[in-house]
Amino acid sequence: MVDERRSKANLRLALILASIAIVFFVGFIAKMAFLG
Amino acid sequence: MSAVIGQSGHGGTVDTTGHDHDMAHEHHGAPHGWKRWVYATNHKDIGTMYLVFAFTMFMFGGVLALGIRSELFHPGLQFFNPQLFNQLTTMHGLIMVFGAIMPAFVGFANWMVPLQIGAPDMAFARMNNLSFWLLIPAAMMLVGSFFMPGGAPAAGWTIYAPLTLQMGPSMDAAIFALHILGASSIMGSINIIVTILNMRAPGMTLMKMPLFCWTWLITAYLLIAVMPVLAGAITMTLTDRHFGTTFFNPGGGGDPVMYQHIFWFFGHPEVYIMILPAFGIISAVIPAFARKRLFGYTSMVYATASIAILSFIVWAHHMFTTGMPVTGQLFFMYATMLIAVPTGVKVFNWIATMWRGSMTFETPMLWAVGFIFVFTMGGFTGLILAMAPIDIQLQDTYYVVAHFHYVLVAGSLFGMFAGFYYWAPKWSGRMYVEGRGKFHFWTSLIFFNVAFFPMHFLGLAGMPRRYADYPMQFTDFNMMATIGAFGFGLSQVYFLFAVVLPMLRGKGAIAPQQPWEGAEGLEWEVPSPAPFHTFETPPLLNAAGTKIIGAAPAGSAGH
Repeated sequence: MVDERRSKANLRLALILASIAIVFFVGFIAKMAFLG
Repeated sequence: MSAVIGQSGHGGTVDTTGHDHDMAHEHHGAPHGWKRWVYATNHKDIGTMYLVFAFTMFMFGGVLALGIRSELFHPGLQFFNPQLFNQLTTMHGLIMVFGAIMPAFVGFANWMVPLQIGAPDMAFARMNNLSFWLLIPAAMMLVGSFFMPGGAPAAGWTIYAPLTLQMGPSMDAAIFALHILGASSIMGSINIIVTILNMRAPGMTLMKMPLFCWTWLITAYLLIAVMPVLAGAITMTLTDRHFGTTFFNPGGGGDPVMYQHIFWFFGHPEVYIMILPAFGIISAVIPAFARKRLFGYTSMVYATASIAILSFIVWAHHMFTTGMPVTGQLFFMYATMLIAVPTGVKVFNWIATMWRGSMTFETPMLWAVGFIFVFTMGGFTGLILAMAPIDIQLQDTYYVVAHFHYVLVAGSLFGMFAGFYYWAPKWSGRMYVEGRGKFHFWTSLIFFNVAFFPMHFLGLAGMPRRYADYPMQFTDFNMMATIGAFGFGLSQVYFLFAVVLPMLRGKGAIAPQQPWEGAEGLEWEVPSPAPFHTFETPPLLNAAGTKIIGAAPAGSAGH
């Protein structure tokens, strides 16, 4: 039983973590593609 | 972090497992049939599926290993041509790393993290289901690549360019499989981090958490940091293969050594991803059977974090022979040696925990002590390999193969077996037969050393890895290694039939709630087997966070 406030906090943290993963993925390729 | 976890809200009676009896009608226990597993959102069911999957892949990877060892029993080519031999070594590595060890630890995390922190489930139950079921198509693609034109990938588990740029369609399947496995790992990591940071029972502060949760929290951060890097590297490999880019293709100005840098920026933290959760398991088992609290809890946490941070600055010790400035070699050499300090802190803390403890040697403790013995040997050879002048001599020899098998088999796998024997009574509600567990341990320990210790001598004598044939002078040690490998494999078959299957079928003595008198933690506060739903209502914990003393008051803010 997870209340609404907790669900929102969970989602917020998950999105932060997912965005870090995406930035690392895209960033590495972009660095290699554009900066060599 | 403040927390308001759900409360019963209607004055229902709550037992010490956090189960709300008045809400029992809303929860119908475990669903039945295939839907229970396909639509599983319960952390215990998903944990079980992860463990079954990982053990299946472990057996498959083991068969590939026995194929390798069969070929190497004698000099000359017996069973496999060199191309197929390279496929076996590559797929053995990929399957063991991505299909066996990593999913097995996620299985342990699914089962134990919510139980140990007093959470009702993982934070994202449906995403947890997706994380698991993504493994199946990925595994099918990996295993099925043997049947693709040209056979399975044969570039080594490191899938180095430019070999990967020259291979058949199975390389695309492997790349796609690794993408899927990576996505699964990242989702699993997000789930574990959010669960640990946001779902702990009130009073379970971070510094009261069991070490297993700490090691998994740090491992999950490592995964989120490095899996996207691997995904980037293999995506660039894919575009090099099919879309005309030349990131790693020297023919177009690319740099294959850059691939190695990127791969090992992922690969070295990956080594710690595969060992840190084992450290957490050992840190749970040794205090239980020494009947003492863990020595130096705080230093264990900081040592784990230190190992994780240092793992990002040592990657090029895998690449000393690619050519780098002496200053670069010195930096990576000393940085690598530095990791021995926090690792030593851990080993000494485990020994200090045992010191003057009231020790008994049930099967989990045997595996834990065996872990310390053989993992430390692997650590020492790691220190030897960290020295650039020695590494340049030993690069790509069987000395390296011996080293990483001492760390990964005798480290990760022994840690997992310690955890299995320790927690399986809680999972299954049945006790394993102690004699069988000990037989499994002693045969595994002896045959493991018979298989891998001679490889040190082979490596020192100059036998290279990934070769299907070898000169006559290496025969004796290779025969010994092959006999040991088959003994080790048979020992795991014995484990399956004599320990795992009887427990799954409900045979054996009924496990009490607390089978180990020295064990502490919330997982021992729930019945055996652990009920389908636990901690639906947040429990009230004692000051140490190890026992439930009631239900948390309504509206209690956590941690």
